[in-house]
Amino acid sequence: MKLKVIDFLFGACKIKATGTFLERIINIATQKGIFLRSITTSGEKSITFTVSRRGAEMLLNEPLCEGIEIEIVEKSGLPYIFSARKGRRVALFAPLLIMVFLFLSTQIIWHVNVIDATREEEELILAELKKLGVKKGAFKFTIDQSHVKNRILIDNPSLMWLWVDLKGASAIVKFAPRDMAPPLYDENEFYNVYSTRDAVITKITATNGVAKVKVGDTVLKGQLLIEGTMPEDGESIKYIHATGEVLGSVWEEKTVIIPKKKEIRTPNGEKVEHLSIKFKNFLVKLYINSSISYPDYDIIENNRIIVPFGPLFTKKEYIAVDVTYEENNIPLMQKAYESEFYASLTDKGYSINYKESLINDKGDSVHLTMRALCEEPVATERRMNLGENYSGTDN
Amino acid sequence: MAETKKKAKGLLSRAEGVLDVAQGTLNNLPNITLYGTSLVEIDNFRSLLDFSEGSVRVNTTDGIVRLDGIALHLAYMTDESIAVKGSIKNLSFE
Repeated sequence: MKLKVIDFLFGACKIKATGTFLERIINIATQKGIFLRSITTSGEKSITFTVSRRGAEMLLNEPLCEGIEIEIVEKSGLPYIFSARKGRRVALFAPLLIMVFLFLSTQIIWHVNVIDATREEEELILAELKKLGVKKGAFKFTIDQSHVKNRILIDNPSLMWLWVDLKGASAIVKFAPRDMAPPLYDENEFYNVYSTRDAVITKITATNGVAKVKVGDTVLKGQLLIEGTMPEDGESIKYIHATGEVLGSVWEEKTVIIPKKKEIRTPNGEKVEHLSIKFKNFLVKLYINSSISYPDYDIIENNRIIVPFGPLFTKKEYIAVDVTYEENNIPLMQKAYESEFYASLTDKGYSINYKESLINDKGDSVHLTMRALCEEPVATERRMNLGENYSGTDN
Repeated sequence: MAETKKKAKGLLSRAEGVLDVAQGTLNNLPNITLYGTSLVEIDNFRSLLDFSEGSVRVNTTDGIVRLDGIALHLAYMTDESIAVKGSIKNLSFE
């Protein structure tokens, strides 16, 4: 058994010797220090025996006996297995390497997706995740989902719930925003209500405090509308947190410039490509002539990552265009701009009482001014500055 | 010459007796070990003289050892020992 293991590890050959007086080769090989085993006769003029790889080389390279032919019948053992697959070592290791590469690829986050988020929410969550190591290129096993969840929820009271799901190469972030309760009034802080715009007051309801203007009054921006003071016992004044709803009639205005002619750029088929490789701050240009022979062109830039975290391959296409001009349909564009403007006002909750548009011809273009008389909230609360230790009552 | 050898053998044999060591240790006599009828080991042999399935002849310092049997083959052979396997029917000295 031990011999079989040694033969397998170091290689062994089964050799056939053919000729007369075959005992000679057995004796001479033994004297040379070659260890023979399993010596059997196979016919009258031939014997077979097993020798080590080195012994076989000795027997083949130095013919020991004249008139005796030696041939290898069978080779066995690891050295022969490897030498038979010498040219296929790459084929042997390539699948292994590919498997390792694929495994590592699946362990890396390639994409962080925040589901059902506005742009602001997405930016906030991505920034928080980045701080905690959840970003493109991070290894999945380095992310502790519970820790990420807890940390983000503690640091961001605007979020009620959040969870990071690691699926494949993506980190999918699900969250629920918190419905923020209205701020509690601090009894030690006193506010007045002021106007945010120049307006004509159309409605004023002072829920706390004293109204200083009435419906129909024209107010300027910053003017006091509701005062946070209450007269108490004749002479003393009690300061309070003034609140209330104040609506005013305000002119909303927007001006857009509409060019009379629009430019039409038609590709004429000519194209120049500039290839370059960018790695960190190094840019390698793969082109010689950087000048463009035609005057009008559009640029299309494509960036492609060759190897993950490696250099960035950039292809810039300069597409030659023929520039022509066409008359713009001014009335049609005016309608489009107007409907867009008025829709933006109603989206804010303003009620429009009157609309008008003014067109001013400026030669190459038309200046369209759109105006709307809206009824909208014009009040804002502002803290009174009465000193730090003020108790709320003046005598 | 032959007498001198014989005398030397006798001396060595006596020395083995005096020293109380195994016979053949000093004068390099063949050591033949028979394991049942299936294996024979011969140490201190000189050379293999004849080898076939029916018989094996081995030259030793003490003469030629002949093995007769069926399906005989050499299990291994080194410069010191030889092992014959098979169904051994007869062991003789020539």
